[in-house]
Amino acid sequence: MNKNDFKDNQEVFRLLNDPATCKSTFSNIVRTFQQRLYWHIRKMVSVHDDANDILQNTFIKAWKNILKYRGDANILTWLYRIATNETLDYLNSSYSKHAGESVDFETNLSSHLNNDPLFEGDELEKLLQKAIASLPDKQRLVFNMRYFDEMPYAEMSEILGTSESALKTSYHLAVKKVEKYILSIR
Amino acid sequence: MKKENNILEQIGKKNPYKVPENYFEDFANNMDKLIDSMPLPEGIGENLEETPVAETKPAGKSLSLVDKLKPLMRVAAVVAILSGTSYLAVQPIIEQAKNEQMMMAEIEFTEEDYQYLLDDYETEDMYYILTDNQ
Repeated sequence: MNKNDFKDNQEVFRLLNDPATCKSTFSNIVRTFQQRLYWHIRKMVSVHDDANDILQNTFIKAWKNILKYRGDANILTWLYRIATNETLDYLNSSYSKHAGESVDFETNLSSHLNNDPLFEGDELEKLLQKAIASLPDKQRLVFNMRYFDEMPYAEMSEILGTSESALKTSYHLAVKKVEKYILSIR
Repeated sequence: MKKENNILEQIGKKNPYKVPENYFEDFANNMDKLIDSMPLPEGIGENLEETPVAETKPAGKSLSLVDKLKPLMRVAAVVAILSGTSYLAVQPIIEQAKNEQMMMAEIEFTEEDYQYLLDDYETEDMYYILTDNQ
């Protein structure tokens, strides 16, 4: 089963609700969409191990709540929403854990990128990642989804539950902030 | 602005992160094992007959336009009846509220009115005496 087979929402719903096909269908869904969801998460948290944990939690949550998928939206949209919420929850709990400490996410990222063997960007790309890290979480999401994934605003609107006009505004402001950050350092 | 736009174009959209070798294959296999070890979510299989599919046609017969419109007409009728009933029920209450508001407006003095009246009557005492006698 490939990605094209998941375009029929009703068929996906039927297969997931049938005890005979539930697990095999879910396994195919994992294989089909894991990369896309992983990169969505990784760009937010930067650290591979964290992204791995969140991705796993995403699929476990999706499995446990499989009955909540009613076939009214695309399965990927539904998974994206879960992944996004899991990522934001992780970031919020991370901030609470380190509240009061002088080191923030941006500074942590900076030292992490310098030492991470799974980061192979050049100096400019490192600077871009730091600039993105300086954005508020939701704005960072919008920037990543639009800039790197080139996701249409309509799709983003479905995933994030925000109007297209608000997303466009958010992205426009994010771009300005990122560019300003980079230019101020260079 | 041009210089700023050039910066992002210069950097590009290349993904600077990478994953350990065979990561995705291993992840999928691990998820399979994890899901296998977990029970089926409660309720799986119960909703099969309630699948939200489009209305099915009766065997050997296609739906006429009237048949297709019937559900919409039922909804429209219910909405019309509810709207009419609500209007009739709420109308007297609105009227009463309007009347009360008008009565209050006639006897209610704002602070501005009070000050204006005071200027005319010079003292507060004179104001109270004169207005009580009206």
